[in-house]
Amino acid sequence: MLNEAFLQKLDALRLAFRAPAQGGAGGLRRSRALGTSVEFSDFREYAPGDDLRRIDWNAYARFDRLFLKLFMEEQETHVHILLDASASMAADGKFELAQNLAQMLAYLALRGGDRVTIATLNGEIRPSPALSGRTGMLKAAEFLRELQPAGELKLCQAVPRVPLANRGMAILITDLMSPDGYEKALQSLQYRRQEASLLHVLSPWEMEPRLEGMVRLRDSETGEERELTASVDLLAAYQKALHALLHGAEGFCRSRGMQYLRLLSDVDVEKEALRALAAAGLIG
Amino acid sequence: MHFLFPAGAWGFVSLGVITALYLLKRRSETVRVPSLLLWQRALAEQQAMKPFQKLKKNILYFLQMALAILLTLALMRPAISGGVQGETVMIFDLSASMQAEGRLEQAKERALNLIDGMKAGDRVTVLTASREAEIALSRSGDLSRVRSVIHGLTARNGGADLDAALSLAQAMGRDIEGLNILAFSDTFASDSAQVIPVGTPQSNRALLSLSVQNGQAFVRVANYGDAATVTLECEADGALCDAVTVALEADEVRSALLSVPENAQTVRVHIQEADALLTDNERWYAAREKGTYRAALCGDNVFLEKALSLRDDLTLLRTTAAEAASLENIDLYIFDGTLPESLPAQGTLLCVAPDRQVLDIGIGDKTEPASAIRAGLSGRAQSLTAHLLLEDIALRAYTPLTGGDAVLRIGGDSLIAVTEAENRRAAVIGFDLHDSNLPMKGDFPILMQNLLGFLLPDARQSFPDGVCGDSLNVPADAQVVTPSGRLAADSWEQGVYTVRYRVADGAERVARFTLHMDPGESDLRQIGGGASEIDLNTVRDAGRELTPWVLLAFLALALVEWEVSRRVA
Repeated sequence: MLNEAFLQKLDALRLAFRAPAQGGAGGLRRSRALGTSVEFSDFREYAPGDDLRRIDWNAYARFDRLFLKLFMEEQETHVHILLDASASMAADGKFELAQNLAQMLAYLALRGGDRVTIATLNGEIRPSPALSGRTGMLKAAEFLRELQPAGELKLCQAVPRVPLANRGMAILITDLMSPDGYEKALQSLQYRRQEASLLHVLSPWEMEPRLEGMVRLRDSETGEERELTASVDLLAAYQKALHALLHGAEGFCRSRGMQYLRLLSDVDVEKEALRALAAAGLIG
Repeated sequence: MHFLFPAGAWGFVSLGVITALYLLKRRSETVRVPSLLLWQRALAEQQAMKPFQKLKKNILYFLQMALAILLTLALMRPAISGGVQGETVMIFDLSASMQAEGRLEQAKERALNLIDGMKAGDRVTVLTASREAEIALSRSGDLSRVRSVIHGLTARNGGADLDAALSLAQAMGRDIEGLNILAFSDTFASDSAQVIPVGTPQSNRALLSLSVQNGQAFVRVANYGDAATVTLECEADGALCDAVTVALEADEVRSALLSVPENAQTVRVHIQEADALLTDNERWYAAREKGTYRAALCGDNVFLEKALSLRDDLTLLRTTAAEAASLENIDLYIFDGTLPESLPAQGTLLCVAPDRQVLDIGIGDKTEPASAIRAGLSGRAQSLTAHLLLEDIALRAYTPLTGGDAVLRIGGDSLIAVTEAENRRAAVIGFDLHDSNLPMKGDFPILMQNLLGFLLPDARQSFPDGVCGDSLNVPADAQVVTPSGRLAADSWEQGVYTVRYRVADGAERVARFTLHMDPGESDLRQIGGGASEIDLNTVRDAGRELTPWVLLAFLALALVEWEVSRRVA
């Protein structure tokens, strides 16, 4: 898990949210609603019942009519972090990276006054309580610390069942090793008015597996075994399948305005991962 | 098809070993992976792209099984049946003419083709025919041994007694049922053997003789073929001294004279132009040092005196048996009748009708002859009776001799004998020359010269020029050096031989003689002895060992296996 010193370095950063906040409680993120912030928005004529404190007396002096000054309302955004906690994430530090990313994003969101929910996905869906404020940071860290990757995950079945706020931001952290694909899962997030992002976590071994001769591969999620001879041709076919997955996922996200970021589990979280998140436009 | 080494089939055990190794190898290592998702897609992709992927998975196994099978087959030495079968005798003509245009190599090649298909139980005997018939290999079933012996055969410079070799083979055939006799020769023809002719008719030129006298070399050159012009070059002691061009008509023998230095020790004349047979294109002459020998003639025998006087290198001293021992430096003592009380300590002995034993030659009782005189059977007797007619020789009485080599025989008795005992040589004539008409015959001086050649071994007749392959008639302690400078073990080399030996007074003497290729081998125009109707079909069906081809296939497959294993790894 990330240490306190590193988290303090994140104070200058905020989670980037492209659409204005909508429907949330009052917060620090600009919304489409008009409210009480210091940011001027418009004028309108006074109507009975309006708050007399908002009458622009200068305008009354000039036009001899009563006008109200309208200001932007600042609301909070609900950030949903969907964390793949299936057994396939246990390999080669993938889950540790996913935990750190989740903690980093939760910290940034909470520092920005947003509400955060972390939901773990494997055989079951386990959401954290809605977190906010400084106490939410501690609860998020505690929630993440207790997680252990296990079980099998079918993304397209699990993601649509995750409870989400009306509008918000959904960040899915997964290795995409799901037999039913990922497209429907991401589509469901958009359908439910979420600004979706995909953080694709892979291990270096998955990118370039080293196998020799005849081997029996055992699936860490299902326990299924498959015997094969690791030939040059087979490894080439694996690379082809891997790149089809990577390019497919990236292309899918780009075409739907989702943010896609691929990270390897041996990445330095405090430097490279942070830089990659910023480059991808997730933080700013 | 059959196998020359069926026990090699044990190699098939390796198939089981390979299979067992593969079964053991199939206990593959288990690797836990995050997900099989991508691997299943990769496998599906691979199988979709290559329908034979399943086969390829096991292709190394199949290739290695095929390699083991090929190697085992190679061990078993497969061969196509044919060629020699059962018991076979192969007679090889090693005469000088077989040197021409690689005839012997052709013969070897044909023979090797025939034995390639030998199978277990087949046996081959190799006989060689040169001056004598010899067994080079007796009834061998070992193909490699037969090959080795055949490869090692070389043509010699003499003639070939193929009849003797055939007789030897036929003698073997009496004990072996179904014996095949194959003769490889350029000239031989026989109804008793399957003769495989080798070579093609060729023109050839040859030098038949060379003599040198008074600064001139007299050479005879023969042309066995169409008209040709040849250049004869003459070297004296290694230096070119003369050359002459001789135009030869077809089948012509011509003489030519070449100038040589008077004191030349060795002269070599050769035909400059190469032809089918090179060995007979040169001829050698070796000058001889005339010895000065002293002979003591004891007794008064005009026949002996006359015969001995023919030798111009012999100084004849007339004396008596009693006084002979007092003479010094006598090389030869000739006693006619009575012997002295004690024989001289040194020098060789010629005793005519002695009254007692001479060295190991004993004297029998006086006997009247009952049959004709004939030559002895030993090699030495053959040499000492060379050129004798032995016809119409009358004899009144003789004393049978015992011991030594019988030179002349009458009935079962030895009439003239020679011996080499107590480090000296002796010849004994077992009858009084006056009791015979032999001294009146032309045979007498010849016989005496032959005996003198034996008793005075450096005389011209002792080391005569001859034909390669002749037996070397030299003293037991003599050292003979061949033209190439090695100690002579045989006489097949052509050129000048050097003999070092010691005479009666202990002095070392050196003599030279020349041996040449048998001139009868120079005519190369007739092949197969004229028997052109020989049925070659019976020998064309040669067997062939397939091992080299199997090994070739093994190597090719090994390369494929290497490439496949490299790709799989």
